[in-house]
Amino acid sequence: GDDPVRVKFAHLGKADPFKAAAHAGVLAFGHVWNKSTAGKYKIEVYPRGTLGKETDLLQAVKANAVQMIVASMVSLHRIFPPSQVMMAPYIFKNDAIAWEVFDGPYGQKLLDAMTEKTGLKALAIQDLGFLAITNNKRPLVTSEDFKGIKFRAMGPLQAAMFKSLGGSAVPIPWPEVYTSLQTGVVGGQTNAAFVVDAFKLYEVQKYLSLANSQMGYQIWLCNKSWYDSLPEQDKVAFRDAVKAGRLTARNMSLLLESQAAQSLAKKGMTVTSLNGEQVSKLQKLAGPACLEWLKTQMDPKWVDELVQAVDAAEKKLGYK
Amino acid sequence: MQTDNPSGITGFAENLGRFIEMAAGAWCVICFVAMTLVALMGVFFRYVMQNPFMWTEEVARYLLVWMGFTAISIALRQGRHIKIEIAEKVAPKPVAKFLNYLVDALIALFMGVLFYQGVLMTANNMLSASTLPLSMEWIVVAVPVGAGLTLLQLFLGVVKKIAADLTKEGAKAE
Amino acid sequence: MPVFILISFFILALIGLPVGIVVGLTTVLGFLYLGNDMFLSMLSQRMFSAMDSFTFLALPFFLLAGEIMNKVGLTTRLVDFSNLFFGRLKGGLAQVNIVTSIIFGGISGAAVADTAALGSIFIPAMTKQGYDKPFSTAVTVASSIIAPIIPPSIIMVLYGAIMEVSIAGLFAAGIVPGLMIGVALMILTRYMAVKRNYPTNPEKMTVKNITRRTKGAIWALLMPIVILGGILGGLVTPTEAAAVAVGLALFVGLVVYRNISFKELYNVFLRSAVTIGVITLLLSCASVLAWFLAIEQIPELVAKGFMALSDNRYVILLLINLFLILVGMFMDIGPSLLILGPILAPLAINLGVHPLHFGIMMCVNLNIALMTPPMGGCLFMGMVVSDLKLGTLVKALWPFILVEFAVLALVVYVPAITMTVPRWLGFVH
Ligand code: NA
Ligand code: NA
Repeated sequence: GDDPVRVKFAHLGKADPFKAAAHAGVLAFGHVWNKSTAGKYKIEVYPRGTLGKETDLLQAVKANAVQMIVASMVSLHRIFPPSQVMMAPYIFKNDAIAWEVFDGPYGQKLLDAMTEKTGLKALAIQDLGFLAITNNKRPLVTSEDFKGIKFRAMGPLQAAMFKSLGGSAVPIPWPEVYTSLQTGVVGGQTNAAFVVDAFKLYEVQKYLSLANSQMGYQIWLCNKSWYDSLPEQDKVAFRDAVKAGRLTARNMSLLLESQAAQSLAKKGMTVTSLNGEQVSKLQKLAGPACLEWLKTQMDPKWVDELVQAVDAAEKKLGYK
Repeated sequence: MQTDNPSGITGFAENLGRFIEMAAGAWCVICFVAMTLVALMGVFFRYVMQNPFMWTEEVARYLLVWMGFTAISIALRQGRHIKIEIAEKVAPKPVAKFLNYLVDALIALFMGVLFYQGVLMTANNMLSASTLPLSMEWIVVAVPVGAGLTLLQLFLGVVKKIAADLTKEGAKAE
Repeated sequence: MPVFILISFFILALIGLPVGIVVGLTTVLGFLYLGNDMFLSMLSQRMFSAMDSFTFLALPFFLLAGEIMNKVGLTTRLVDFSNLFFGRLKGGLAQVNIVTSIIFGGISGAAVADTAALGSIFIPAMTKQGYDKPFSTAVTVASSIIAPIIPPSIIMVLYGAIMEVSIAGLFAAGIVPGLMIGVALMILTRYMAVKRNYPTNPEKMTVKNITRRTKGAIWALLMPIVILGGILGGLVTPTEAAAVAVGLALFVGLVVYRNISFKELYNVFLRSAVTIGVITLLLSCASVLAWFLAIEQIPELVAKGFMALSDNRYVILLLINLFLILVGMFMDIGPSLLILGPILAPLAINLGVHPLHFGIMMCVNLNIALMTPPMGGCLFMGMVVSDLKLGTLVKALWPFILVEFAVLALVVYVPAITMTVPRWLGFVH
């Protein structure tokens, strides 16, 4: 037979599917696509960012040096600003509502608009689970608890969130976060629980709050002309495989979140889960303020429609 | 140094090269000063005003990019790029001279590719800055600008070299 | 494929092409050889993003701070001060250079920044006192690699994150190897100083002299206090501290001593900027080479080769270290760690090497590579600050490199050197 067609797929996660949701998703994707195309394609995975930072990967997939990537909120808002609505603090009350929105018409509209704007084919949104907030002073439950703590913020959105919650926000580049928490340049930060675990932040942080504040996300992207050149039959199989991969990654990130919370507690962190009432008090402080800020960053219709989509999802799922 | 060269071309190449070097140098100093001020501002606003800007680190990085790529051309003109200087010492004179021109040609080849790819990269750029409403075109264009300035300085240097060689040979012939 | 790369590398290097372009052009040839011209677009992309990097940001500041300190005379005063205490020894100032690197290592996490900062201070000071320039530069370069081995260390944070090793544990494990390198360098320096009869300081350590020198150096002494205190006290990050150092040096020059004109200042900035230009070409081209090796999956092939050769722990460790030394000759430390760590560490760990031990081994090895020819960040920075030729510097540097390889061998084959401190502190059970 013919040699298989080589497809280069890069992401920033670890090369272990049981430690990186993205890698698990990529493997599942490759497996499913292979099954339905009788091994016509050979997926070559480049994990761990060996092919560069996310911004490099975005340019690489645009140039077709790499065919597929999974990129995250760290860089996606830089090619498509509306994507950061998904990080709006306290917009999703739980995972199920977020999935409903991402998988529904709103998510698809976002992907289509992204494809149009960037020229990259945006394939699927994949949530990474909620971010946790850590600090070394006290468990964070009410806005009182945020007072007097300097939090490392990844960007203006997180800065707005911490400020409206009563804390203060400091920009610290990721490579210096660990030592800044150690020396006390900042006292807290926010990231997914498995990131806190993987990057050893528990060595320099005492308290972890699972407050359903922000939802992390990644988007699966591929080169558009490469995608267009696939035979129609393979395209169908490709889309199904992407779906399989994305669902695998979503399930894996839930599993990682639960494992990380346990593992962090075992390593000596005080893990606090907030109940619905406590979350909704924080939501009232940070939610509307951050939505207003987001409206300044993009066509406001993206924000308004998100609120409507969340509302519809809550009704559909029986929360309203 | 050769401004009074009778051939004229050498003088022109020297003056133009020096002018471009000075302009590039001024731009580098501006970037460096701004970079220092921006970094200090970050600390100042965090402690004194309790209200830090989110963009200071990013801006400092972009200024560094501009400074670094622009300075490549100055370093070329001043002969400060690091190289292994065995061939020009060991090889016989005509070979050394040939290798010298070969090196110039290879630098031109590399900088040419970099210039071309840099222009493409700028044209295909889809990123904006992370914390500022600024297209990254304005930053990535530093790469083709740096490569272009380097090509220009290289070309002017080669013109001077050829002119000098021709003068020498002319003198020999007489 | 790797053979083709090596051959074209050496030919291009030997005819006298700038080293950065040697690396860049070799990679371009590699891309063309692969027949995928899409890859060429990564040339400009990776070169750009190598410079658009936070980890590189402290370097220009430390370089500039050092240059300004020289210009306004802070350096001379600082050197006079330490000379009074250590200068009676043969090669005293060279010893001060090493000790300063150890202390500086507790502040900064990057070796090239150390070469830049201390090189622009010590090389002029040492030559002024009668040391030869190659030796002065070699001592500076050799001791600057202590910075990322003694905590804090940017590369250890990187390694800990990719390899899931405790970062605090790596920090703890790095202390003894870092100090060992320092002591080994001091012994070598002592030996060379006696043999070559390097100068001593005739000044006596009287109360009067101590008061006079301390008074003269008061502003200079404030610099490390502000920087160190700022970082350890959680006021600033190491990168910000570098910018604060520039601010402080400018303040002393423009307000306190008032001995620098704006024109001189302009030239100081310009000279530092051109130095950054030299480093930009080198680092950005090296990062394209790293991309090429990664897309060709060459490290994976090498790891498979090792496995086929032997399954003896000591043999594999030897092979890995020799391989790292070879890689370090051409590649920068960050990409090397990122690409090779996850491939090599499992080999060693499967054979019973502790992950923390392997991490330190890799960090020490690739740090020494910063000064091995033909390519190395500290080596190049040393050349740039001293204006020495590659050959001249390497000739002065090789005894130091050998001594550091000897320490590396101890670190590799005597795990207790690395593991004792982390064990005390409870990172290893
Ligand atoms: Na250090
Ligand atoms: Na090296």
